[in-house]
Amino acid sequence: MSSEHDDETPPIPGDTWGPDEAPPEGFADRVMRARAHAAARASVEERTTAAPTKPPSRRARRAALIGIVVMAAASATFFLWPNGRGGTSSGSEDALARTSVRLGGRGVAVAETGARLAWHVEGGAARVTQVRGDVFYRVEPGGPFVVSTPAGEVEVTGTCFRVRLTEEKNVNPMIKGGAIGAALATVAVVTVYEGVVKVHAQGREVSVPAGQAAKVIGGDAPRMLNGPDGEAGVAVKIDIPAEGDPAADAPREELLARDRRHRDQIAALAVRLGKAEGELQSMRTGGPRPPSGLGGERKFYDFTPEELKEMAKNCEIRYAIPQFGLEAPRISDKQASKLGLTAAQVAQGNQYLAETNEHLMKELRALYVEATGDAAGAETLDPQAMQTEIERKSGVVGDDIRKKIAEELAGLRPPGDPTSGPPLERLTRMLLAVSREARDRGIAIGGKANERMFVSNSSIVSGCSDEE
Amino acid sequence: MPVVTARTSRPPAELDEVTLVRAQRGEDAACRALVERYQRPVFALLGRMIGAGRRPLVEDLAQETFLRAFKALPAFDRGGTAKLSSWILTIATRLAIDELRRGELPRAPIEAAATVGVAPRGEAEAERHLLGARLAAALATLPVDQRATVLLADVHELALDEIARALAVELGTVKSRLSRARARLRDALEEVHE
Repeated sequence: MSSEHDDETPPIPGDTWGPDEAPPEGFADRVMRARAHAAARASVEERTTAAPTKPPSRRARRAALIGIVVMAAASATFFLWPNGRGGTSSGSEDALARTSVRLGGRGVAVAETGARLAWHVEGGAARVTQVRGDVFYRVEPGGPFVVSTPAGEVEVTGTCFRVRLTEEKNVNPMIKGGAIGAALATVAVVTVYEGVVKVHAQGREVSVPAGQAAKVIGGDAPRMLNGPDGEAGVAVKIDIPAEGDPAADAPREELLARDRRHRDQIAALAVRLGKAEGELQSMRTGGPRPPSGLGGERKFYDFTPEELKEMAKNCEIRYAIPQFGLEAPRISDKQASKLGLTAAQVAQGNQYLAETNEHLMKELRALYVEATGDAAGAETLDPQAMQTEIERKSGVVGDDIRKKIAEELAGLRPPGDPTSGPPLERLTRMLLAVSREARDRGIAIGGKANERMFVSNSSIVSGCSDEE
Repeated sequence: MPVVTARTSRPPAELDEVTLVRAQRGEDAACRALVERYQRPVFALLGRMIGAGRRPLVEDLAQETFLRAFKALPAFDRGGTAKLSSWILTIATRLAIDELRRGELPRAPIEAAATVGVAPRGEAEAERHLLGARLAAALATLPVDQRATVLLADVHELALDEIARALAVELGTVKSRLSRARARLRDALEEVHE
């Protein structure tokens, strides 16, 4: 095995590399066509996969019938709108990808992936039923324009706004059938970019001006997010310059320019929202951690029962594992010499490192795909990125998982099943198991003095969630 | 002495954050802007990784690089430590390494690599041409990991820790590979000067 060198050698001068290979003319067009083709193929495959392979059951038929009745009832309400100027247009969209929908002559809806809506425009009046997802609306001035959601109704005359529907645990305790608990409710967040939007729910109404947002939790009255009734710490102040409605005869170019401007504003807002969410997340997870009962000692094995209980109190876990990645690590000659290993011990060690690397990468990729649904990313992302994504998708649940596992290790609760639970929990258990094995194999191959010979990454993670 | 030529694969200015967000949302115009911004370094990297005379493969891998980038883009951490350019070059590098390791590609013959390109005009240009060709030939003889390391470091100017992340190896391994690769390339260049 060749030795590792740490010496810095000067770079090959930039002027000796010769000319670069250049992209061909129209390469970006080619990529964009391939992207569109791949998206269309994925969409077809998704539909094909989703198609029933056998006749629908009686239950499914009944559900479909109910769906049709619901849609028919919704359509019936559309026809109750007073007839005025303009034609009739109706339709529905189940967005498999970001989709722009023309809402008759009343405007445009841009539905993000997963959004579902139906619309009917008649005589200048428009009603949209948004069942789920995130939809941006640009409404031309005219008759009434109502977006009906499970959480409440949004009414406008001519404006730009977004309605984002999610499901959240209702934070208000409910008393239902004698039980106190939290319910899953549809939450609508209405963000206004231009004009004024009225949001109705439970007989209450708020007017949301440009640059502000309102939130409606199903069953509750609407609340301003950054107004006088705002939610401290959640609202993001949005500064959008006031912009009047476009003229009725505004040329197409002007409307397109407005559209581009609004899209840029939305993207800029998304950047700021991302930063605000990051700050919020850091407020949630950062800050001083409770001191560990181990007095800061970097100990990873042979904890006493008292130490384990102290760690459980702090939701603390510790592991020390080998390096892993696309290539298995190997014991270098320098390391072997430093540790006093024979050639046979080095061979055994390298075999263990290769097997562990394969195991960790395989499991990590599977957990990453399960947590994110991103099979392509599993092939391209490095292990650290995959771990970060698994943790991110789990939100603050990581604290609960550490608490649970730390309590198991302290004997305060029965051992959990390493094959069940969310991806982050299984990842944590796997890292702990590898940590134990790395130490055992270190002792078995290199002796007690070399118990950490395979370890290159060690972590101490502690801190319990504030909700406790 | 070698003649100085302008190299075009200097790290590009990064895509602005607003366009990046729009690309993450899948907007066509932003995705196209991303391709246009990063296509040159991707081609420069793949061209040297794969070697001369395999232009169709370089184009296919470049296209695949961007398609994979689009798929994984929503998960790209804008606030993270990785630059978008490094992240895209990481994808390209791994694709090239996979392709080369598949063993379907015979190594580019040194003679072929050395004679690739337009015939030089003056003496200075002839020397520059010879240096570039000799370097390309020497590069083709390096193990793929060393090749990737030296290209990312010396042509694309990635920091050593970025290369370590890109190739999923330790910093020490990057230093070691870089040292060996540079030594071999220097030997090849010195032959030209002698």
